Amino acid sequence: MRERSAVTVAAILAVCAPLAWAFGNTSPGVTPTPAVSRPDAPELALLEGPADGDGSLVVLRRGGRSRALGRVPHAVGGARQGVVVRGGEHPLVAVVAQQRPSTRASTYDSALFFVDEGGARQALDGVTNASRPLVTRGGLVLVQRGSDGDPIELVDRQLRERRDPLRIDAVDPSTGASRTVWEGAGQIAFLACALDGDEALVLHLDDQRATLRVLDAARGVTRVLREGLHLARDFSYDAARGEVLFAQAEGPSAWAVRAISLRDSEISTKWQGESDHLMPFALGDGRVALSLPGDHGLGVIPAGGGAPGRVAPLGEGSDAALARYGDWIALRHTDSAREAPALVHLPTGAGEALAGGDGEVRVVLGFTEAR
Amino acid sequence: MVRWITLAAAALLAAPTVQAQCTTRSSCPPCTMCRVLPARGSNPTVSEMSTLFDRVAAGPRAYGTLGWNFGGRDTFGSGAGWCGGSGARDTVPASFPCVLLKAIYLTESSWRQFCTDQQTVISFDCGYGIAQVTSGMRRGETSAYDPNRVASSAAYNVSVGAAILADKWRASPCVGSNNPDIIEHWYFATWGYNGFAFSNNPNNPMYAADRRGFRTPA
Repeated sequence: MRERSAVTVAAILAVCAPLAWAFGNTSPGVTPTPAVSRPDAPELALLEGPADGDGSLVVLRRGGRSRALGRVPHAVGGARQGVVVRGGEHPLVAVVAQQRPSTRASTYDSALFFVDEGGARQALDGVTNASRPLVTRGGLVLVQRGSDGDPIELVDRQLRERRDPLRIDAVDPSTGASRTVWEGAGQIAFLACALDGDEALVLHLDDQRATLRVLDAARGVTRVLREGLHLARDFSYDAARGEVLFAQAEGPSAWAVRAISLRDSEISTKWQGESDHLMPFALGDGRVALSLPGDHGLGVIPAGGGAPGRVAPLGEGSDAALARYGDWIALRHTDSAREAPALVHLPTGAGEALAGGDGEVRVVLGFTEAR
Repeated sequence: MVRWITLAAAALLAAPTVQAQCTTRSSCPPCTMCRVLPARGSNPTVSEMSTLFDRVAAGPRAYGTLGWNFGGRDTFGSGAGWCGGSGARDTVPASFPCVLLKAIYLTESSWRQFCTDQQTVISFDCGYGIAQVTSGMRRGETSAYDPNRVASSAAYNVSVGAAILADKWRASPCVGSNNPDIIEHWYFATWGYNGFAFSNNPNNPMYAADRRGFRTPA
């Protein structure tokens, strides 16, 4: 029944998408929160809205100033994620936002929106809940899509998960035109990180198989980088070294920061820690930012390797580094009182949180200078 | 003839409205395209609801006629022997950690059987009431339980939800010694209540690793 609904929605979209693209802009309706005070900080794009609200606002912040681009509608309290597609004078961001209430493990209930100075316009429906769009270095926007497979009824006490038809679509942000660049089946085809050109890394889970694939989105072809990559997450690309950083479970409480070479698929271990949320992030020069075990804030592994040094400008809590521009990184800081985006100036270790603890959800979309 | 044309026109106009109500809105106003229409009633108080969950958690043998009798399947397995291990393989009266029922129903419906207009909470995919019972509640489906009481009675609705959870316990992989008195041992059964989809897998890499208590990702 859900699949028929999806077909119906797709048919409606086929007719309406061009019109929505042209006329579907929505106007801002949420008041932005106070802006970053440090004047030399780069411009940061955020998606901001009440945790239980039905819309979020794309806000650009630099120094003491901020400006809103557009409001993205979503289901009440719905999942939302996004990324900066283009910076400069006329920035463009992509947002995936949940459109229907969560119920019965329905996974493909979200839509892709593009947001610029003209507002927000919907580009695609049937996008994976809570997924983050990925922008290739070549400028394509990739999204995870699919449809719910048949429900699983366990009969033998063996855990099985629903197997869904999956696909990855590429969208040209300048026209809104989309095409499918990969199709398969399984539990998820996770857009792990962008590589060079229009290549992206995809973690494909299908029952007991966990396969890391390199997807060439321009040509619609993939190659297997590595099989058997179970319990891996938080991928980021170090272009200078040609390797991808990620976290992988070592045991019940210990995780490792690992690197896989794009050249020979060899895996090396950078560091191990007693934490299930190390959240490593390649800074692009051999250094790796991570969240220190024990929630002691931000740490940085030196380019030569070894134990991470503590930076932790925001004090105790977990720090997920999400984007870098020059000397600055953007992160999500979480402690007992708040979850807030923050900026950190790497040379000095100074940091600044952007509000938090007020019931607002603030998603870091990235620096607008970066592209 | 005019009457038939008028009726046909009304049906054409009405159909998209009802369809939209069951596909794009939340559970209130309720979806009206499911097995039974919404009933009318008012929600028990929070205190009454909490007491109700405690009674239902004790299982059908203890609560008697308060709710559904699980179709007579009022026992389930306890002990690691049910999963091929060498431990006990007992059959015990079905019962649940009371906090587990409270937590599941809070997530499912915020403990609501009725909307503010006093109609049954019914989601777009035919999830009814506090327990958001969907099994057997779509048009054309059948069930061992009374669908009208699932819609009209908070106690009956909650007991049917408990029976569904008991089925998940019977079929899910064992945790530890497979003791239904230990809430951690309900891990897979609880996962199964909403469906064994990867979106319910706590290891899903899309969700922040440092989210508090595996909460819904923002």
